[in-house]
Amino acid sequence: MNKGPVTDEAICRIIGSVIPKAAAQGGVTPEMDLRADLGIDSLALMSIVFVLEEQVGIDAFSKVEQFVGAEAVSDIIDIVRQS
Amino acid sequence: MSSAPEIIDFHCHIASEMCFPRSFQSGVVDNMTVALASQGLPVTKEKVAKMHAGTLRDPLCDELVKQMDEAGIKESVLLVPDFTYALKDSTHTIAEIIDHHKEVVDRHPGRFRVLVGVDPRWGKDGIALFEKAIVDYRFDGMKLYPPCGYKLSDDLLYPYYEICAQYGLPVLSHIGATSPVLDFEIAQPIFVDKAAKDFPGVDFVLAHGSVHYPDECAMLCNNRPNIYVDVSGYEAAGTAALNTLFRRGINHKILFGTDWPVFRLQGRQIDLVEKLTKEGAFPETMSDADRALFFHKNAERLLGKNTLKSPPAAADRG
Repeated sequence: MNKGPVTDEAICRIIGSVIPKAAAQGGVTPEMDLRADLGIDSLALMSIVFVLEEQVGIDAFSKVEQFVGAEAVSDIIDIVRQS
Repeated sequence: MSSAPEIIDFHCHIASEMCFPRSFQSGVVDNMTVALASQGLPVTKEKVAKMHAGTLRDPLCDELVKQMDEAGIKESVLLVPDFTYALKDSTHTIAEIIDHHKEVVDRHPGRFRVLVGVDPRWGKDGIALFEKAIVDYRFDGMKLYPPCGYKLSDDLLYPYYEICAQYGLPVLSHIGATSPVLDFEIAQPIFVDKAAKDFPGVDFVLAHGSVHYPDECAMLCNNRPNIYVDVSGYEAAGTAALNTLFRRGINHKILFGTDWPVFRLQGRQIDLVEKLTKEGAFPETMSDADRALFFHKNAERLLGKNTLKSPPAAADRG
């Protein structure tokens, strides 16, 4: 169940919580590239999906193909907004 | 990526569940689930499986071709491992899977080669199926998957190697661990040695050679003229191992490969190509000529020996 509106900053914080510390140190912003800037690999992307589902309450697993194609933090934000 | 338009990706698969039995996928998902659960995440195997299945939705390779264009990959080699003998929950027969690959090749002219696998325990029917794929479909070589339960120098494979020798075709084999429903020990690179010695005219490619048993793979490449490695798997293992591999004096034996769609969650094909430079895979001592060998010339040399597609004289010029 969706737990209500969530800010871009909150989504960025969630992403920052599951990526390597070195990548998260300068902060996560919407324009960042998931792989080139944040070094997100397969397991980290899955972690983001699991945490979003738990903390934001979206049905993230109905959006699997969109997550597979996500390239930037802003793409993740868009997916959450559409949920 | 217009500056590197010549890339040949020597290690890809069609992203479709028809190519990977459910038990194979389930084993892969088990490993992912353990890794995610260890981080304290609210994981269920069912959800991880759903995410994994999301990477296997490009059955006609339309998305792959888009990503190849974006990455400067002119051709990709589609590999057809035959899991259907070892894993009985395959949804399609190996003949149906081979036919599907022909459909994909015809749909995207000039973009795909196919190395076709047939489990050697299928007997004479398997040999006939393989020969049909080579002669009638003009596929480009053989794909083997020892974790299914056979060694690369098994006598049962020799009739296939005879066909490859006859037509100048390469054999590419998976090396090392894979889905935990299959056997790992049998997939060691040294088991290629007898076959490579007995068939000096057949080129053998050890897949994932920068990741699995890299020392043994490099030793074989150094000492058997017809043994090569592809680097697929560097996406997970990191590029430091590649940097080491490129300093072993075997750059005429190393082939670029991404293993699409296995690392699809790590980014697009262009990300995987650019990762090599960004993360220091290439030693400063590596020449542009060696990079060209790695990205396309080694692959062109192996694929160019096919006497069904080019005259033998061309192959002799190498």
